[in-house]
Parts: sequence; C-alpha cells; structure tokens
Amino acid sequence: MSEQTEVESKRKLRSKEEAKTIDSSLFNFEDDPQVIDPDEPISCVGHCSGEVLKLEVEVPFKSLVVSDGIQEAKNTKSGRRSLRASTQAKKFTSDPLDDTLYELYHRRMEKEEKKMLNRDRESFCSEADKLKWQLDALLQNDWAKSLPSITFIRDTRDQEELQEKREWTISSIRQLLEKYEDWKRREDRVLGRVRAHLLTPNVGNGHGQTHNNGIDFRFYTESLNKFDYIGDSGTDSEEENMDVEEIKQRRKIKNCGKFGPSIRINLGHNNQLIAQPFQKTRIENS
Amino acid sequence: MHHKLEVEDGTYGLLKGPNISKVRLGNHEMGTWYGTAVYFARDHKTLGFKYLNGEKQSRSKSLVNQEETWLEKLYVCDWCFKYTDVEDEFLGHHARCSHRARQPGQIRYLAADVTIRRVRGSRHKLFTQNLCLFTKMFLDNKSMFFAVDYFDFYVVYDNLTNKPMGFFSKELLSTDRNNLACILVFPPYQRRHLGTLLIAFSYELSKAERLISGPEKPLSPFGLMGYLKYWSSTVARELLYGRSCAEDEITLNALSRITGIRIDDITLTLKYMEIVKVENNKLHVDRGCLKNWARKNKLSKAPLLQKECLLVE
Ligand SMILES: [Zn+2]
Repeated sequence: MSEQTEVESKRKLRSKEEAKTIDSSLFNFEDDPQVIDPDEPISCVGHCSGEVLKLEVEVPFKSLVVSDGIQEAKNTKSGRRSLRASTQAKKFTSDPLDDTLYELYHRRMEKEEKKMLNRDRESFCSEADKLKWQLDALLQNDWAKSLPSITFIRDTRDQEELQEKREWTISSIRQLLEKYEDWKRREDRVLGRVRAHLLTPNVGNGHGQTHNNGIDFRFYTESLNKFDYIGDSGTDSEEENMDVEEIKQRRKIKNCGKFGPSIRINLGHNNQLIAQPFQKTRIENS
Repeated sequence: MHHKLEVEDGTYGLLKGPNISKVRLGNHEMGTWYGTAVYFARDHKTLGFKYLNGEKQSRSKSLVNQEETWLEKLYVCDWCFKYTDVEDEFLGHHARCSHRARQPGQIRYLAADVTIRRVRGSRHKLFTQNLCLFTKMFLDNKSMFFAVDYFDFYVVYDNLTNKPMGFFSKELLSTDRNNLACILVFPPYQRRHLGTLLIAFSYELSKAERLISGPEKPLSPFGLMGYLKYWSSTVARELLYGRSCAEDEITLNALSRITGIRIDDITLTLKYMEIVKVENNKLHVDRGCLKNWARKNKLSKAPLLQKECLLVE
C-alpha cells in the first residue's frame, strides 16, 4: 500500500469501532477522521470533482416548525367585560405583583441552584487536581509506568510511541491547567464584583470612585483586562435620549474620571512618554 | 452549564411535555413548547411564590383537561416578566409596571429600530430570574433560573414600544470562555432576524475582548439552526468578498482568526455547506459550489449588524 492511499483511507474510513473502545477518560491522540488539521492548507479552486465533506448527521431542520398559534389576547369577549377589566386594573391602589411577593420563593430556589453550581465548581477543581497529579507523574523518572493510565497507548513496548505521547500529553495537560488558572483568576474578580453589586443593588457607580489625591495609577498596566472594569455601573438613565456618539463621548469622560486620563510627556529628541489606563506605559518616538 | 440535577421532584425543570396550556405575554397569547416545573410548588398546581406566601390552589386536577396540564393560562408582563395565574393581578400590574418607563441595564447597541442592553443578573435579579423562567417554556435545554448572579443578559428592545423582544445570556465564569449560554427570541417577534442580530452581537463582544469564542454546547435545535445560518453566511461572505476572496489557499486557523468563530464550528459549517472536497488526499474549497450555495441561500452583502451602532468598547 502506498503511503498516500494509506493516509487517504485513514481520513475516510478509520473505523469508528476502534475509537469507541478507547476509554474516554484517557488522553487520546489517535487520528479522528472527522477533524481537519487547523493548519492544513485548503486550496481554493474554481471547480473540484473530489468527494464532498458532509455532516455525519443530518440537521433536523425540516422537523422544526415555528409555532404559528400566536393570537392577540383579549381580556374579555365583550366591551362590557373589557370595561370591567379596566376597572379591575384600577381597583388596585398599588402594584398587585409587588417585588416582595416573589422574594421568599425565588430566594429559596436560588439557594438550591447555588448548591448545584458549587458541586460543578468542585468537580472542575478536582479535575484540575487530577491533572496536576498526572503532570507530576509524567515528569518523574518512571513516567513510562504511569503513561498508559493517562493516555491511550497502542503498544507499550514501542519506545517511540511512548516518548511522543508523553510529550503530547504533557503539553495538553499544561494547556488545560492554563485554562483552569485563567478561570480561577476570573472567578476571584467576578466574585468580588458580584459581592459589591449585592451590597449596592440597582445603584450605579457603586465603586470605582476617583481618589482625591491626584491620579490613581492602579489601572496603568496591561495586565488588567479593561472589560472587567469599564461600563460596570448599573442602569444609566442619563444616556436614554442620547445618540451613539454622545454616549461614547460621555463614557469616555466617565472612564477618564474613574481610571485616569491619557498622559503624554515630551522627553525631548521627539520622544514621548505615553501612559494610558489598561496599557503598558511606553516611550514612542514621533 | 447543562444540568440535570434533582432539586424537587426527580428532574430539575425538565418535563415530558408542556404543562402550561397557554401563556399570555402582554397582549399576545400563545401555546407553550416545553414543560416547566420551576414555576410551581410541589403540588404541581400552585405557583411556587403563592404557595410559600400561604396560598394554596384549590382547583382540583380534574378541572384541567389533561393529566399533564398543571395550569390553563399563565399571565406574564411583557415589560418585566412578572407572572401570575390571575388575570386581574396581571392587568393591575401591567397598567403600572415600572419597567414601562425605564428599561434596565446599559445600552450596548443602539440602532434606529432596536437597542441591545446589557442587564447584569447580580443587579437586576428579579427581572433576570423572571426572564429565565419565561424562557423555559420555549427552550428545552435551559436549566438555570434563579442563580443569575454570574450571568449577563443582553436584551434586545424595540425602540418604538420599548418592549423586550429577545435576549441571550452570557456566563461570566464559563470554563470554556463561551460567549453565549442560551438565546431566545420571544415567539411574537420571531422571523425578524433578531436571532442573527443577537448572535452577531455576541461575536462582536468577544472580538472586542480579542477572543475567539462561541456558544455553549449542546445547542438546542433552534439554536443550532440560528448558528448555522450565522456561521455559514459569515464564512461565505469572507470567502467571497473578504480578505480570503483572492487567496489560493486558506486554513481553518486563518478563517477562525478573521471571523472570530471557533475552529470546530467552522469545520461543522463547511461540512453543512458542502463546499469542501477531498481530491488526491488534499482539501479544496470548490468556488463553484460556494457561489451556488450563496445564490441558493440568497446571501446578501448587507451587514448582519451595524458596527457604527456598537457601544461595547
Ligand atoms: Zn411588569
């Protein structure tokens, strides 16, 4: 069998049976015929008579029917009854569906849901612990012993396969752990902000006030993601009758007050020191 | 996140079929598509909040036609999504709803006809909880209704009426950095391309954060339909009119970087469009097929969203 046809048959017909027998808790670097390598060049041609790549399952669009049974609601059948409806509405001196009515039930259900969220969070964290432990094992001298319990190996006597898969596994684990660390960082930030909101619900500018003594340089670094900080106030009624440009201008001024202005200092010889919130302070030559 | 955890009676929110016959949303009345247990107390007939407030529904189950029907009609305010099973309470509230004069959240997209507002769950708890509860009647894979603190909601409003027409939610602590958790255009406002607008907007949010992102999986059938529409027209525009139009070669990586769509989703889209072919073990985009696809699907050059209306920076 020539090499080319072998590869081709791999893309087309790697048997699914085989893939199924691999324990899904293991890292699996076997070729998946459905996956296209993201860096594989795909040439653009006017016409090609090859075999079309199709979805394995058909999209069930035809069975989706948007319900058409939407009607205008009538409070009542006759004019007299609709009069009754409007008097009914007036008979309440205050909102018959006041916020407080829902409080007890919604708070109780929220507590239940948060328990589920915590279970999810814990399992995500213990997954990360397992990865750390696996990474540790792969960095030991006897890594070849632990590898088959972490990654699918075709032939445990094949040194080349073992070496290659050890490297791939280590780099996969490192990527996953990076994702986990990124999530941890975001969690700390979001939890802090949500707590601040809960202390001052429905009020804009709950935090982020400028300090009286000059500029607060906390934000003059690129290591903060500005999207975690900007536009964090609640409902902003002042913007209601503005157009897009006016809103942009207003927010710029507001953010400047919160995070500090753009600063340019001439250093001579056409060099400028430029400091801006959420960016690395730099020197530019103009 | 997709939960199938037990809270009250075996399945959380999941039921075999619709259990509320009709829902009245403002002045529209419609049937429901999916069952929802979360509005109700354990007796399966009293609304949960009324039950805890000491009220008990006296109507017996024999009053309702089918076994599966827990309630004949639910009344929902189309400004704030507060709900009740009593028409008079609904009318009394609707006439003086505080959301009528003032919409929650901050403007993130302002066009001539519609506005998208970001509403934080932690700040507008009751509004976003009620929105989630309403959504369950039209989405099968929704499973978070009350713990809204860690979600942002992007709600699209009609500028003429100031009424919400649809929304998507975004999980702030998504482990996969998804840009969308669930999406719904309310039944009276479907077929106005609002789903495509919301999806396009969700990608603009990610692009502003320099992220390649996408929706939480699995998608509901309607979600998948909306996404394939967005993905395929975005990929087709890029290949026909974008930077890639004169290229002899493309890669999934490049397409993903340009469009902000994840590689897996682009792969799915190319297969769905059936424009990639294998010849001599090499992959090819067949431009003839691509043009046919564009003609058949009436691909237009008009943007899916007006960039000048964005207020996300
Ligand atoms: Zn209302």
